[in-house]
Amino acid sequence: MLEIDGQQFKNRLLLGTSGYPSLESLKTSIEYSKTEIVTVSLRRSETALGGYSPNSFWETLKSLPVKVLPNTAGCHTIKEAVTTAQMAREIFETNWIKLEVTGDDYNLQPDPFQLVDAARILNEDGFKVFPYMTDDLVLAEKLVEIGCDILMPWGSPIGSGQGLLNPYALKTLRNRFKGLTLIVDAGIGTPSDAVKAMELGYDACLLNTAVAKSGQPAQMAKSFSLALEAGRIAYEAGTMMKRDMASASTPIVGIPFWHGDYDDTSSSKTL
Amino acid sequence: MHVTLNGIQEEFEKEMPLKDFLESKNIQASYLAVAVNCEFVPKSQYAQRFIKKGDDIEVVTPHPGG
Repeated sequence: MLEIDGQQFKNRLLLGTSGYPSLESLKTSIEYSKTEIVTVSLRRSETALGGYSPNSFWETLKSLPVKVLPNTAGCHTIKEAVTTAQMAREIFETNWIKLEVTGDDYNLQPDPFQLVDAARILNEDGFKVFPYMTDDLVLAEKLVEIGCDILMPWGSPIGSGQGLLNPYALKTLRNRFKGLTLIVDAGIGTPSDAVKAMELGYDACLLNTAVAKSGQPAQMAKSFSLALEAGRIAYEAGTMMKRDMASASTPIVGIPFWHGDYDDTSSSKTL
Repeated sequence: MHVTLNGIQEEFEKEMPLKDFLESKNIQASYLAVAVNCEFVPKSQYAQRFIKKGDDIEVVTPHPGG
């Protein structure tokens, strides 16, 4: 079971709600995947939404058995992020906040310095902060120092679908923060990326575009859900150690037709 | 006098509580939150918080997000 903020969840997929072909497609994707946590944002009230109104979006989400994780997407300063979090807390009636402070618009890389300061303010204000961060170890240490017990390093830039660009860094975070909830957020492109994250020992994955922009979002959402479960079970089972040399899995004792007439250390012979 | 509402300049005649300002713009109070000059204004303060010349008002609602 995934445990976040004292609550238990069966599903390890945190699903974004943006960019689906239709509201119905979003709803079906949530239902098929059985995700229990979805992300949402706040935008100016008159902003067009491409097909369905903000209120029908929110009414639909409220009718589903999901917990909402609001984000501060688009914020570039501490002040913007903190104010957005406070507005989200009032509207969505939750102290959870996915904290995003963009540092560079080219790859939407989080600003590590402002992220820490914003997280400190929000922690002190009673929020449960889910910081969207790079995979930098020292940044993670700073966030933990100020009270974060959830970290959400990126796999690769948001919406890029490039998967886990730096498995070493992600693995290092897992090894250094064994008791914390670690969620790969952003850049996941395929279910196999999600499996890899789980095999590294991550607790969950947050993704959006890989589902919303797939050929059939509901099918893909379900696939991700299954992949996450498979990867988690594999991690708990413990994967084998890798080695450079081959090692026959079939017993070598009693091999028929064997007369001991070759050197079994020779690389030109196989069993 | 003018204020800025969601990035657009709006003319208004006199200072008034945020509550009255929102009503004058036909903005429904459900599913929205407000910040004035990048400071969050809780719903409980809509009647007390006066909108003044030059204020920058943001009214937001739930939207899809990742």
